[in-house]
Amino acid sequence: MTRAETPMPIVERDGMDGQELPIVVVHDTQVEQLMRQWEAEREAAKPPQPAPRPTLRREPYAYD
Amino acid sequence: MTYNLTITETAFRRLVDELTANAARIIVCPAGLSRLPNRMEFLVHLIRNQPAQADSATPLVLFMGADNAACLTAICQDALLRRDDGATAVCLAIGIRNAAGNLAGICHTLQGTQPLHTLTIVGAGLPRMSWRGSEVVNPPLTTHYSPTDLWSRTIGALGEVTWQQLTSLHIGIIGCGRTGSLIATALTHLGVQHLTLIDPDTLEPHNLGEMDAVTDADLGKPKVEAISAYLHPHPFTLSPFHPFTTVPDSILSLSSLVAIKRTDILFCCVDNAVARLATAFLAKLYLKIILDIGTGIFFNDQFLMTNPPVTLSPSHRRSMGADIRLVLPDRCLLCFGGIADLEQARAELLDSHHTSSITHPDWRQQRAGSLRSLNTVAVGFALRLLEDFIGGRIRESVWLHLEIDDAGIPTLERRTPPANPHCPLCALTAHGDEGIGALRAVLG
Repeated sequence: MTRAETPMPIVERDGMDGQELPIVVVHDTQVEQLMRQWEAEREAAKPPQPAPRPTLRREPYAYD
Repeated sequence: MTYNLTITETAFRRLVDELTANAARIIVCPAGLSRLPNRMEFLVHLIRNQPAQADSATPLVLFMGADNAACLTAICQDALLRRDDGATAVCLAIGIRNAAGNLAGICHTLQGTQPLHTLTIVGAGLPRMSWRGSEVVNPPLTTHYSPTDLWSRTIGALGEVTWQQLTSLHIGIIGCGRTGSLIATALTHLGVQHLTLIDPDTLEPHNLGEMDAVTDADLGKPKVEAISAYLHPHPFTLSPFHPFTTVPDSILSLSSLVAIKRTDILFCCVDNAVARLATAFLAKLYLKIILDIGTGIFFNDQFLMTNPPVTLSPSHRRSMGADIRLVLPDRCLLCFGGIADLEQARAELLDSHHTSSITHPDWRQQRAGSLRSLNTVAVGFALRLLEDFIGGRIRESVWLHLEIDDAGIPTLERRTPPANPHCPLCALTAHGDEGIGALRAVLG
């Protein structure tokens, strides 16, 4: 399922003595599909946006 | 040595939800450990909302999120550098929103900083990703023939991705008698390459009638060796990478424990409560999915079971059926239907004289008999559940109850017992090696 391995530049930081951390980013389509599905379910679970309040304005103006 | 992270789908989903809501957070979770000579596996089931107050002996997993894949390496590194308590820890940076599907991980142990090798999400489809580039976790299926020719109909029905994933699973079969041997044969025919067979028994003449994959030349041999020898040089499969693993020993043995830790999924085909309880316990500790199969044939009259007449008439009241349970980490065999004869299992396991062996009463005192036809039906349903679980169609624990009435008509029912938030076995989910000593406490 893992599509590709993308080596990322390792930034040297204080305290690591120039050690390169073996961190790479991978992309997995199956995990992506799962996360997209959860995102859709989150969106669907959100309460509907309240309808905009109807304006009270009527013409001609009738209030002080 | 490889370093792996295994997390339940429920926990991973909650992580994604929380990191989506606030990507700046670092979520710290205590983890269970599954240690093997060449592998360390971190097990995560619960997501804590606040940093755990843990001592340096508690392994931790730190989760971070970013909506830009290019940032994942840096936040992973930052999180690692913030740790100054020396605890063994895994850092996993998860891509969210536009970066969904991207992950970066690293592991810090007493031996230094190591790359993380795999992430497994224990849920529908059993997604597993590897940081070792093109090197896949399980070598691809190798056969004398083209797999797409041999299994074209199966691939057509399931889809090639699902079938490939099924065949790359490492499946353990606990109990290799009538049902277990049928499962082993069926999985081999499906193309599954790596099986672990666990059973302490040797082959006796009464096994030859209904078991699969054995011959009379195997009498006296351990059942697991006989089945392995029959199936492994199978004309369909050529598997130089993964010979079957055989453990001719009790589920309570150390060798079984080591073997089970290496598997992905367990088929529980045992005929006694001690072995079933032990399998359920180990599955909880190490986040293994269980497919439990039990069949039974009983007569209402106990006399008929111990002294069956030559001819059984339809007027003899009979109870016949099967229970097939796919149990994911959110449930266990105890709280998802229970375990028959649990009290007996509890007594035997708490008796120190029974720690390495399981007693077998005369089978006639347990049941009237066994039917290969019934076992085959149950095995078929279990395999169907597995296929659709790996295919992503089944997303929760499933219990199928088959009952065949006195008139011989089968009825299939799906049972959904309510969750038990106080289940003592579920409290041990993902505890790993540290939970091994807890079985007595659970039973007490």
